[in-house]
Amino acid sequence: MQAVLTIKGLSKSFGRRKVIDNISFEVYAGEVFGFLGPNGAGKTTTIKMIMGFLSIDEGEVTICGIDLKKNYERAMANIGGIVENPEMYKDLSGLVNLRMYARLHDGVTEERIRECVAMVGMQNRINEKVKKYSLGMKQRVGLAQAILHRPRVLILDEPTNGLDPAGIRELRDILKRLAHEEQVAVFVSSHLLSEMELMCDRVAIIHNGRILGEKPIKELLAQVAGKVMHRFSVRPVERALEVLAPQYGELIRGQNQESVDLEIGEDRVPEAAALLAQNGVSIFGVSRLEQSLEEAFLNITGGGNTIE
Amino acid sequence: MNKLFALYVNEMIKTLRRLSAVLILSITLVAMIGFGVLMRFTLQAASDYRSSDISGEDIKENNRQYIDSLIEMNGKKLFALQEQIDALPEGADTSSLLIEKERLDEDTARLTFYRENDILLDDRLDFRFEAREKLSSLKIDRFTLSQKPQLNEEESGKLAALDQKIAELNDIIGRSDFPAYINLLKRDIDADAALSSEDKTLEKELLDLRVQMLPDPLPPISAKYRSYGYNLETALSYLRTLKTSLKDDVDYRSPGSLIKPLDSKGRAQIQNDLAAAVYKVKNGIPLSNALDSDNASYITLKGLMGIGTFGAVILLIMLGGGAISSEITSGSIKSLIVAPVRRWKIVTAKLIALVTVWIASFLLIYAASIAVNGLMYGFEPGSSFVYAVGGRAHEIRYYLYHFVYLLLSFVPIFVYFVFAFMLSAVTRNTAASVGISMGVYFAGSIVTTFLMQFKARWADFLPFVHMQLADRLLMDSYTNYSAGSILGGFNLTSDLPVLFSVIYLIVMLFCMLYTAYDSFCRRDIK
Repeated sequence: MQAVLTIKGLSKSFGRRKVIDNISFEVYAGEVFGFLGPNGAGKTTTIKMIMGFLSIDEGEVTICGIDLKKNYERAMANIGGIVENPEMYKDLSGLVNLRMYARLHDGVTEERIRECVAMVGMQNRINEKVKKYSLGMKQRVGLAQAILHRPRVLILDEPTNGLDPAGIRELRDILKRLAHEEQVAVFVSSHLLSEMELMCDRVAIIHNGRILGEKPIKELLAQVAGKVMHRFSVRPVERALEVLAPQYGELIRGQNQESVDLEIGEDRVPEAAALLAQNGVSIFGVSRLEQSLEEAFLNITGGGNTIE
Repeated sequence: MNKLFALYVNEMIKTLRRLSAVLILSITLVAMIGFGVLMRFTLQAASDYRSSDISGEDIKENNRQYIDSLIEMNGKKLFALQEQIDALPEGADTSSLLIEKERLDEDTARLTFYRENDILLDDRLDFRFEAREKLSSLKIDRFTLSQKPQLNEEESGKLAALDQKIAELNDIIGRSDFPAYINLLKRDIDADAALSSEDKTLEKELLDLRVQMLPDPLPPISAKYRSYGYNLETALSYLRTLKTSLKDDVDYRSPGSLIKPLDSKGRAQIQNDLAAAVYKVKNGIPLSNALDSDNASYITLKGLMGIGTFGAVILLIMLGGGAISSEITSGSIKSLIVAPVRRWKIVTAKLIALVTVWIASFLLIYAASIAVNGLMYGFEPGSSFVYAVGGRAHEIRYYLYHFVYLLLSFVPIFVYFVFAFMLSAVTRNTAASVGISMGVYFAGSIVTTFLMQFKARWADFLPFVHMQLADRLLMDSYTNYSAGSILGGFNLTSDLPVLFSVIYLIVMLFCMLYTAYDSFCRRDIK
């Protein structure tokens, strides 16, 4: 596969604080690439460096083989995208906004504008002033704007913000179609793994300005899937812990006055239950705890609760 | 290049859709129309009060009545004098009383002459007023001389000369021959032993100018007649001041410099002012448009342009101060940054758009001023502006003069909006940029006036002085000095050469633009 967006050794400091630390990854044509990380991990900063908002302290950004630093305009001509929330000129209509943006690119016809408006389903309200739009509508127009000039790389920063479930699904379909049919490299950032799961082909996880890992979404899901928990409602809990400790000590994930949580798959539940029963622990119930993708994600990123 | 043009088109679309911009322009235009109408009616009322109600006939009638009262008074005095003479004992010396009597008789004769010919008392246009006065004094001189019991040879010669002169003057007045009268005055000057040859030339030159200035034929007596005469007299005395300044090497116009001899610059200045004044006088252009209180149209036009300039300052500072910061605040800058254009092109497009607005508002305000003024007073152009360089006078036609004046008044606006633009790029805060620029604009003129009063040398290096190009390049020297003397003798403009100011402004603009570009192109947009 051909890499259309290559990031190599990218670093950025704000003052003395290093926000992006030597990150590298590639995005290929025809894939939806997820850029996953908690708030403050550096997702938007990375995107802003790629899109020319922030200067690049160190490292290289190459778009379709063109170095961004050396040939800014030619490289940027291949990128389309939305950074944070889509912002437009509020006193102008969506259509005028699109036309203004189209003027800055070569070869965007009026037809193409109409086509993109139709693609995001805004044809009925495109002549209204942007200040009357909801966030979701702005997202739609923003997306139309981002794809107007048929970019080879489409970069979207948290694109599902403000969209209703139907809108999210539409967006997902549009992105998949762009990637798989038109061979666009779609780069989507998000802090929601569940969203990524449905949208992306491959994800990279960023935390504290570093890339923790980069793998196909299926592998990540498989990794998460292995981590299933079961909650044993038992009495007395102390006795149960005693009994379980030798064999399951490392798998005990939580406890309270009524239950013990074990990180084991279904296959091992009878075994554990038998052990407890044999040692005089009353079992009132066993329930499967669905570990959410978010929790798995938190596990991978080591909590991620503190924004540094 | 086409990217730059596309950006420029976008900027213009954004600007034109700005409600506040349209609003400010509309308010300015409405204010201009309102001002025009107001001026038309207040000034009209004032000038009605001054003049139009009084017809030429009324003036003449008043004049006659006044003369009659003077003649009557003379009659009473004469009667009293006659009684005094009669009361004197025989053989007493009556000569001084007789001279007094002759004086009164002559005065009555003179007033009668004025009355018969409808010559106004204090008439400055009709030379016969002055000539008849001269005649009276000659006659009294002659009478005084003739009262002497014995005349020596010199005195008899003098008497004969007086007789001849009286006859000649009588003849001139009778024929109403102005050139002949001037010739007579010139001969008098030549004959005056007290005058140096320099003085003689000067006086004769002034007489020539007087001939050139006098309208031929004289206008009929009307409300304007008096002010016409007054202007003529003012002009003559101004020319005399300038000429004597040159002769005595001292600038008599500015009270402060009386003690200092003229330097070459001051001399050249006076020569230029003189050339301009002479040109005006010769071409029937009033010495000063601004000080001519009858010239309502001129005053209104200046006011209209002042209002327009003020509106344009607010408009452009507002647009300039928000050009970059408001886009960053609202986030709409994103669509520009994401687009494949280098940042310097974004700045340049914004600047060109602002310059376009600057030019457009200049043209609009010029057109609106002329239109409003024209609708109120008619489109007849007023008198030209006259300036002189190297002793040669040049004329700028009325409408062109106002065009250039307004254009020069727009130069500071250019500087202020670039300043606001720079602040917008540096602070990224619209309120601060607009507020600071407005503050500097309003404080600037106050501070300058204040500093000028103290003639602080270092104030020359403040930017404000250098922005008043319109007043420095196109200020009428006559008006300037007249206004200056009203304000206590200080000159509102800098002594520095205009070229220095122009270079100063260019350097300042360059620095501000560099700062703006550097700040926008290099700093992160977070």
